[in-house]
Amino acid sequence: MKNIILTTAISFAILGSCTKIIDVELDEADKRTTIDAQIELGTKSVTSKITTSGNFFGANSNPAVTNAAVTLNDGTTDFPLINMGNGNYELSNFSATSGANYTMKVTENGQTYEAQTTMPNVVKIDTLLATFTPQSAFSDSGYLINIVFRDPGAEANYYRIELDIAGERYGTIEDMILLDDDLTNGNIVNFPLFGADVAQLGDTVTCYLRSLNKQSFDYFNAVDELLFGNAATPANPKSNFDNNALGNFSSFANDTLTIIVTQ
Amino acid sequence: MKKLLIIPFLLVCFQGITQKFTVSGSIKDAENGEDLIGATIKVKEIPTTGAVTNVYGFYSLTLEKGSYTLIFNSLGFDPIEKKVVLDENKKFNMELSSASTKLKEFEVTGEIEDENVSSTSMGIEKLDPKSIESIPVLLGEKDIVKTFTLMPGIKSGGEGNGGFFVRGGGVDQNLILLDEAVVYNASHLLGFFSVFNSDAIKDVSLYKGGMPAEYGGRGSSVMDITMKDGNSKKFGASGGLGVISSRLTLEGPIVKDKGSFVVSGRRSYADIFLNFSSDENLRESTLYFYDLNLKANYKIDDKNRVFLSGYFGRDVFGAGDNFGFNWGNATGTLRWNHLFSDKLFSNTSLIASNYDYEFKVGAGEDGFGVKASILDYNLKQDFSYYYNDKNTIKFGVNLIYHTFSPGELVAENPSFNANKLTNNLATESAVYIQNEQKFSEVFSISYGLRYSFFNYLGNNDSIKTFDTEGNQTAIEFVEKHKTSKFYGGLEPRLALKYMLDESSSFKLSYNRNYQYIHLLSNTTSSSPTDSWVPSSNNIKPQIVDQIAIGYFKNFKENTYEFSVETYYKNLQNQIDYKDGANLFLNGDVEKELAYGKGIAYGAEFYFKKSKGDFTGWISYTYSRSLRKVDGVNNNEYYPARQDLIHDISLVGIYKLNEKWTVSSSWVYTTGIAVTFPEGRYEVEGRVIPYYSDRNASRFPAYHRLDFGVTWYNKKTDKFESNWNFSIYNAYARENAFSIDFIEDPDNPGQTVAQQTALFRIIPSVTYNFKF
Repeated sequence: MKNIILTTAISFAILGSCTKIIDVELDEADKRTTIDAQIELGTKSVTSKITTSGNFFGANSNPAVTNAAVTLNDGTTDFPLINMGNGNYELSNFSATSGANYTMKVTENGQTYEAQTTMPNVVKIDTLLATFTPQSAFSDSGYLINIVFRDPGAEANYYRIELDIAGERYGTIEDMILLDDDLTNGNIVNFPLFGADVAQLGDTVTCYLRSLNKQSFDYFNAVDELLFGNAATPANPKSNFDNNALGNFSSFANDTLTIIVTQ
Repeated sequence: MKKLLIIPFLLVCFQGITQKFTVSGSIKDAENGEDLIGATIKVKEIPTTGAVTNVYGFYSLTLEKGSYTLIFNSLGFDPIEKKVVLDENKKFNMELSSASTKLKEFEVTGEIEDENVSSTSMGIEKLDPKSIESIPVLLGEKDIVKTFTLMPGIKSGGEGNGGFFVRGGGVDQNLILLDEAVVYNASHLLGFFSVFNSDAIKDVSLYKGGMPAEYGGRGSSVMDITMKDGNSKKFGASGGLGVISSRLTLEGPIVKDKGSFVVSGRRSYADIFLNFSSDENLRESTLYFYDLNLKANYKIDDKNRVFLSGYFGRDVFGAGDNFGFNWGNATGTLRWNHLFSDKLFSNTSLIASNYDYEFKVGAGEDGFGVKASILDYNLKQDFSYYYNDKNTIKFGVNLIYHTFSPGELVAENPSFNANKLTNNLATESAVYIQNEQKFSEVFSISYGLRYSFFNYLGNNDSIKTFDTEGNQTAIEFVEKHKTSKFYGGLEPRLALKYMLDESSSFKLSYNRNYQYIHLLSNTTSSSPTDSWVPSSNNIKPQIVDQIAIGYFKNFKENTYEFSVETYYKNLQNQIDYKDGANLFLNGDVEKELAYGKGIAYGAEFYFKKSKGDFTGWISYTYSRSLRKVDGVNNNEYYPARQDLIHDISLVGIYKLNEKWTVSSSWVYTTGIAVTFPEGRYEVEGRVIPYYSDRNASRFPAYHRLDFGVTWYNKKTDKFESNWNFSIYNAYARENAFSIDFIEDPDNPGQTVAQQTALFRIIPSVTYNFKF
């Protein structure tokens, strides 16, 4: 990624490069069932979206799987998810606790897919800082948001950080910020959220510090690498579902904090 | 193999009963005192015998007692005949004058006329920088590496990518030597230009295979670059002003005819233009590179000569205070030539070589940066023993001490723990012996044996061993400089030539090469941040075997040259990456690697016209390069990135008259092998590409036409100059640099392929001068 940016920047600076849409012939892979499921700490909804993969240059959206049977198991009891139509399945007001293992089982078209995830501990946001930065090559002038929190030293932690700035969400899979504590374990982490836009005076800013387990983190990291990386060997993110299903069953332990940007 | 090799060595010893004497000395350019490399000494009375000068211009020829006529010659120079009565050992230091015609500047290579047919070696390409000055290049920057990629079997890494591929080998399998010092990253501006300033270079040889036993350490090729020694007759300056950079070279005698120096510098100035940009962000950007080549030599007496040479180059890229990135090489070589006798030539070299990069993101408290480097100290002792006119024996030893600094995080931000990965230490050593033996007028063999070995050393830290799954199986604390892992192996080298008739020959070569250090690159293109790692408890040395055969034929008194070479390579212990490998600041990077094997094969066709007003060549290469790696592509063979199946180069240079030369080149290459998605699925509403087979898709084919015109001002004794105009990519082919899959702007929800090309037409002008 770095390299592409650099090279493109250099060639723009010197010469101006050019882009165009071209035809590329691609092989077609076999269709596979995709399960995009998540569970949150506390009393929240457990959701699962089930689709089938399609041709790369295919139709607008992938076909939904509407006749699946989906259950969640907390180690003792099976809880069925309700079919909401259009491939969406939901179990509302489910109470999830840290350290517990949850298993999702999907039966569809004679095939069974299973995944297990462990709910991580929540890590609290201490505060959010807003620092004025002038216009630069990387951003407009405005307030750069820093998140400050204490990383627990006793365990490896993985975070997905999302941000709402004046109602605009920076937290989809395209602009989430992923952070592990390899370099910051046990420290007070003061991390500038370069990935998001800068805020302006008076803006309401909400930050979500979403703790993940390692498997979920690796999954999102691989998705991020795939979408924005420049890997010589692009690889499919490793799903925790068995039986060759795509997608993932991820668990989140969220903490949020809201500030209004003042001088 | 061992036994076979001993027999010819024994044969050497049982020759010669009659009285023999040696004629030796040096051959230089009369104009500037530069040593002439590869100049020939022929004996008129015995047409099949002769000698060739080495890189220091030294020759030695032993003949039976008698009267001879020696012919001293070098391409582009007037030959000198000298009558000799050989009744004792004699010394002749010769100086040759440039040929009276302007021939020299328009010859496309610096070879001896029929060297391609008559020499024992094969798979070797030679260029002298002067010969390429009319070939059109990007932005008028003469570039030896780029010109080599117009030769068969040598392929460009692509626009915006550093490096080159030789016979299906990777970028890291090329040994690039500048005055014997390894240059680890030969690219400026991410590969738009090479680090070699043509003004400072005298001679370049590139071995695609059959390399002599004196070379080792890389699997695929050797690019051996010799810097100019500097004019030992008078002071001079030369230089050039170009669109992107300017060059200046100063040279002159230290003591006339005894020593000389050369200083050559080059700096780009794209960033100077950025200052005039209306865009404030561009104005605050820095973007430049520079090179500095230094060399001095001094002849102490007839038997001793010393050389000191150095190279310093750096790329600097920055955007305001928020981003900075710089990288570069530094090398230094101290050499001592000593003549033990007129038959035994010795060279001792002490070499240092360093490559490092550093980048930082953010300013002040929020900023952090990363530094990494590789540093070598190298001691080399080489002997050439000119036993007689049929045998030249070379032998020597080599010891390298490597320090790999894989990465250090530099941060003022207290959020970050200090993180410095332990330096990796290793020694790489070799001993070798080789002989070039002429069995008869038509048959000669060059054979040699190299034994190389590698010690992966401890550095007062734990060394981990992983299984193929990446699980740690052992951990051991190893003291500094204690061997943790040892590798070694024999590398036989063989080249033979059989003359079919006076103008054609058949050749065969075999070589085995060990490569103990490896480049890890997780990106599609090579990058300054790619890191070198040693063979270790987990990484085995790469072993490459190559066998090649060739047919060489010249026509019309060497006006036309034709050759076909085919080769087959077997590659062992090749490195690939596991899915989702993280190479950045990763202390356990070795568990992210996967290992496999590879094959490469191909045929190279070459037809060249090397004399007359019109010169040039056509080259066509068919080649394949495949890999098979555990856990990748269902354990089946897949094309390597450098599997560029068809490759065509056409080069034409036409000298209209004394003032004008026009040139053109056209290249065509199969698109690189890449992994494209074969399906898609959705996560959180976002379309995610789905991948299946490794490198199963291709970029569109690469092709490009360039034009060049050189206008020579009238040359005087004091001053000469020329203007060079070039057009790069004359028909504005948009060659793919990258292909991204994006949402169709006209049809949301649909995915389309978007290609980014770096260049359309690039005209340029360069002014060169010399006085």
